[in-house]
Amino acid sequence: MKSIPPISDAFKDLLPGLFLSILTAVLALPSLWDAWQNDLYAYGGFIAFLVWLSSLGMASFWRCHVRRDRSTFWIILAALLCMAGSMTSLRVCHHLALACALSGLARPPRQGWLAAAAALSWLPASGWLISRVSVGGLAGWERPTLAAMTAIIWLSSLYPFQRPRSDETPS
Amino acid sequence: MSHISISGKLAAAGLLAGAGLIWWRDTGWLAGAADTLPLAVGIPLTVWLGAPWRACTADHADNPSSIWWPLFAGLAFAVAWILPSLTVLALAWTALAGYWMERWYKPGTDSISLLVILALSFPWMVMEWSEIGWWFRLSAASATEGFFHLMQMPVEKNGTELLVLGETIRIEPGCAGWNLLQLTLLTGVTIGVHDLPKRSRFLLFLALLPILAWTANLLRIITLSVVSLSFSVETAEGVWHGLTGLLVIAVVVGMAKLLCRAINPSAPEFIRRRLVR
Repeated sequence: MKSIPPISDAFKDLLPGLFLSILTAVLALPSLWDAWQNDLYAYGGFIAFLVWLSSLGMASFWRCHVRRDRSTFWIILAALLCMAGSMTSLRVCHHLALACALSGLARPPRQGWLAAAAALSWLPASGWLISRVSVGGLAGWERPTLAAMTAIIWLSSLYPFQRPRSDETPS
Repeated sequence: MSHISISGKLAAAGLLAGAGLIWWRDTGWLAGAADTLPLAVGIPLTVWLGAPWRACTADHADNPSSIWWPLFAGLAFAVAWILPSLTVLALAWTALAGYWMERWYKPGTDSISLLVILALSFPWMVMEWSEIGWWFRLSAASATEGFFHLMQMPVEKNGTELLVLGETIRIEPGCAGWNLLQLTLLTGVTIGVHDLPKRSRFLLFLALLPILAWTANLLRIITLSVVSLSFSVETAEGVWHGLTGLLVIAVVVGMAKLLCRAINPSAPEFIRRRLVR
């Protein structure tokens, strides 16, 4: 054997993230779609999901020159939630697994946890919390507005107004 | 990326396509997709646990054994496809994945341990080994009967049915954890691969793992029985049925961790080094 060079991070991080995103999407999207269509407290969730997804994509694109943290944490969390969802028959676990897998795939720089927390805007389970304080369901604009607000706050903190600092090593 | 050979990439793509084909060959699992589909998590977990992966630049073509291995596995795959046998398909695919690790990319972890995870990433156990499921339910019913005897409670067993205090408790495949046994084993094996670097220790852990999974499911059955006796069978069948799944996960993870610690007392040190790396 001549030499054994290490292989790219893309193989270690991107492939598991992509695989888990597809897997969790297959598991979670049917029940998510069902909830967004029929649950009074989940109205507007689909639009909120698209807004959240766009903000995740934009965050990854804008800061593509910055070396990211490894997405291992999100990948493992997504895998655990995926298995927990099946063992407990709790759909919310599969929904959370999708949020974690997509966060791991996008590898958002800094405040990755904030991106995952913003997923509350489209999670049907958050409707249960709303139902505790408000009766009658949602009109449909609340969830997309919440998603847009969290996206604006998050993205404005990431937007590269300044030139990259010397410690932001290109990947 | 220049040091990654095209043949290695093509072989990896072929393996992924093969994995997809195995899942597609018998779609009987679609009825319980939420229980079986998460098994595929084993593939990304293998990629993560196998890190750091290193590309081999040596020419293995002159080694005759390396030709027979994929040839035999490929032939087994073809025969299993015609039969069809999901178990043989999964094992043949795992053998091909093992060859890929030997020939193109060496994992940083013991390859045999990783191959066990890969073999468990297909729904062959639930689909083709229902006899084990029956034994699983029957033995769980006997153990639960023993538990209630120990509690000095009147209990009668008829197959997988228990009559406790006049209440009938049926141990269905869902309750006995048969649908989720493979997922439970996958969780345990993942912890074993993560905590036990030495192959011999991992194999010992693997031999003890079914006992651990069985014990976790027995605890679930006892918990559900106690809930149904304390409240009602309807209560036990509702959200409690799902929540006791959390108990199974917690018990499997906890017991697997303790077992790893018992088999390899220096496991915490190894994990710390692994996390730092």
